[in-house]
Amino acid sequence: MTIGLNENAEINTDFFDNDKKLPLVITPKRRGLKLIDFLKLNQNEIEENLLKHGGILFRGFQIDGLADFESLVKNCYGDLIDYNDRATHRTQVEGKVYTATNYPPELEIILHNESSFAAKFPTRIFFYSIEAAEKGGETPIADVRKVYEQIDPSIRKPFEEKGVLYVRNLAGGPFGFTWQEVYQTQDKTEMERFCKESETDLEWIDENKVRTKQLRPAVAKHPVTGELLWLNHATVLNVYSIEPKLQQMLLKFFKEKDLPNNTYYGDGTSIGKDVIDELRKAYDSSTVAFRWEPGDVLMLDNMLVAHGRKPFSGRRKVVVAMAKPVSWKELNTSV
Amino acid sequence: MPGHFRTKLADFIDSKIKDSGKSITGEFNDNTPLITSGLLESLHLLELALLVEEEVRVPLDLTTLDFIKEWDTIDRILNFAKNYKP
Repeated sequence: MTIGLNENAEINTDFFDNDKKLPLVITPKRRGLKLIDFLKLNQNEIEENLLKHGGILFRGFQIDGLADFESLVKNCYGDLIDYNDRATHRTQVEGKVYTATNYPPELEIILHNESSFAAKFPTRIFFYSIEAAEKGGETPIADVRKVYEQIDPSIRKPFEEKGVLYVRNLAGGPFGFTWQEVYQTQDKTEMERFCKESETDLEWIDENKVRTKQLRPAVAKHPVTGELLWLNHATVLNVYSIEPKLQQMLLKFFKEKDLPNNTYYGDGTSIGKDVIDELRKAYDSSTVAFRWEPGDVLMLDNMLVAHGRKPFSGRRKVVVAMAKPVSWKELNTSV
Repeated sequence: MPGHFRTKLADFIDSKIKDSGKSITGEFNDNTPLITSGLLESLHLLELALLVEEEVRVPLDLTTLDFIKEWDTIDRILNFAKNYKP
């Protein structure tokens, strides 16, 4: 079931979902076992299990606040990543630890692999639950090896051949970002240099409004296991994935080319609603959602497992830390 | 500007604030900030746009609208609707 952890006298292991084998849940047998110490002593076994299962939930360990959380990620994977080329509003809460998202609680964020639209993205992502919502607020996860298999080959094919084109309108206001927020700079020259280096095309609409276009692959082979992965933001950033009422209103008030976010096939042709619906079904069939408990830490191989967020009511505080970046250029994207 | 639109706006905003479980500190009046205070979120603003469009009877172009400058208070929304020229 697990690799090398069954004989560990300090912990119990189980799966939250035994059919999907995700996430692996590790709980300590005694109170007060510090997660940072456990990870230091068992790093190889943890890494092997992460590569096999994609996600590990640590429940019931001692974590001494945000700085401790940041340290444990750093101990495992070195320096954390700044959140640049942003796709959601986040608040920096400690060092390079951010709120998972400031997205309105009543709206769902559907599954995606963190920053897979960017030129470079983290391969490790950690979530730490400080305060669990009274109702909802789960972080659903899905193994994208299985998602890949679930998608009909005829639907996969044009994505595999053409890739995904991400179009964003950075115009600020309540429906999107300013370029300053996305690129975390006030300096236009710096932003333009970053975009050039990250193969992001820019089309200035006026002095402060810019349309960005990013062409990325839709699939990749895992750099360690070689498994095929459905690795993109084609679904989550597509207008047809937006909650119907909001979608209807956005399409009423914005021309398609002016939408804050949308995705296309790599040649710029539209992705039909039927295709987006099929992709969502593939994610849904592989999804596991567990209720957060305060103190939970979820560790994901961001290439193997996608995550989202369910709507919630009441207070919820989940923070995130990202590490071990990889660039698309380093990956094998041939099928 | 007919008083019914002000009433409609106030009722709409009141219902959205109640639905989202937020509370207002101090007195709520026509100059209470709605967007910069976080009382209204993006989904609410689209619904509000439908309401304003119904009032001005011409399609709105939200891509050119400065929401904070023009819609941050009931007073500003009323002025916007009164003076709106497509």
